[in-house]
Amino acid sequence: MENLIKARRNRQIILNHLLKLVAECPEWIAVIAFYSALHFVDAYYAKMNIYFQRHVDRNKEVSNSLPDIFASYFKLYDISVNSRYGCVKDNPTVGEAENLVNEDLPVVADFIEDLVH
Amino acid sequence: MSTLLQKQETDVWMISPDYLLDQAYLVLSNTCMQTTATERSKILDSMSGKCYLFVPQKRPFTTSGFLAESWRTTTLFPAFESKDAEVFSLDLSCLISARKTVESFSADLQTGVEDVFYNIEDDPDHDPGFMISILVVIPESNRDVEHGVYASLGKLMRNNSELLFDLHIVKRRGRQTRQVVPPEFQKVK
Repeated sequence: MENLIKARRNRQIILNHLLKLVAECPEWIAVIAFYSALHFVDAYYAKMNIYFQRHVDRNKEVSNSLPDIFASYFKLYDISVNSRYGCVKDNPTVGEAENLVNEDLPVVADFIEDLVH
Repeated sequence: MSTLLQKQETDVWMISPDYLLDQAYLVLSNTCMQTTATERSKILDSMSGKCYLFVPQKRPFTTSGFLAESWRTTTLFPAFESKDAEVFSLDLSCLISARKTVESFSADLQTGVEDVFYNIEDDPDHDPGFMISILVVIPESNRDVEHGVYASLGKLMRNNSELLFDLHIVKRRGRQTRQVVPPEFQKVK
């Protein structure tokens, strides 16, 4: 349940506060969007007492057991990594960040919300 | 065959030109075997100028002890001769399988992808002991192309569940490809 609370909270922070700043910091919106998605995914696995310490292991499990959301989840992961470790040219554009929040994150969030209820 | 082995730095060993990777055999000295895993992690082929990364072999690949993978470098180092070298062979089937897997993945990608690079990274604490890291270069953001890449990756991971993969899409955005791809990554043919 903690994962789900954290996932929803991160998503609401973006929607209520950060999306208006997307032109200034699209990369950090991407990062928080990914961590919202991560907690949604972890909420699903936590119900089965499955926990991950590394992204690569979680990504592998998502590809196997949640294939319907894999592309959106991995896109959030990939862009968030580039946002954190890449240079400015690797940052997502405003449009990319908005797509993550408005299209990819809902794919993950809605799917998991249905699964865990 | 010569048993010339060349030690350059703490953790880099050079293989004699007599021993070619395409023969599917590499040779190391017994001395090299007794070093730590870190010290035997990188092997440089003095003929081709390529290094080889050695990873302790783990399941499901269980024949002759090690996996080899090319390690891109242009630097050569001084050498010494190992008088008491002990010859043994290395099974490259796992490497070849991993490479073919990445090549197949690359071939399945739709238009819009400029290049695909990969690197095999040592991951001794987790099965299978290494991770295949893939970089897909595209000129600029393209939602359809990117989703196609991620969907293909999901398929690749499901079809090769014994392997560990990581992937990143690199948007070139006017930069040269080699500016955005680390030198240890190899281009997929």
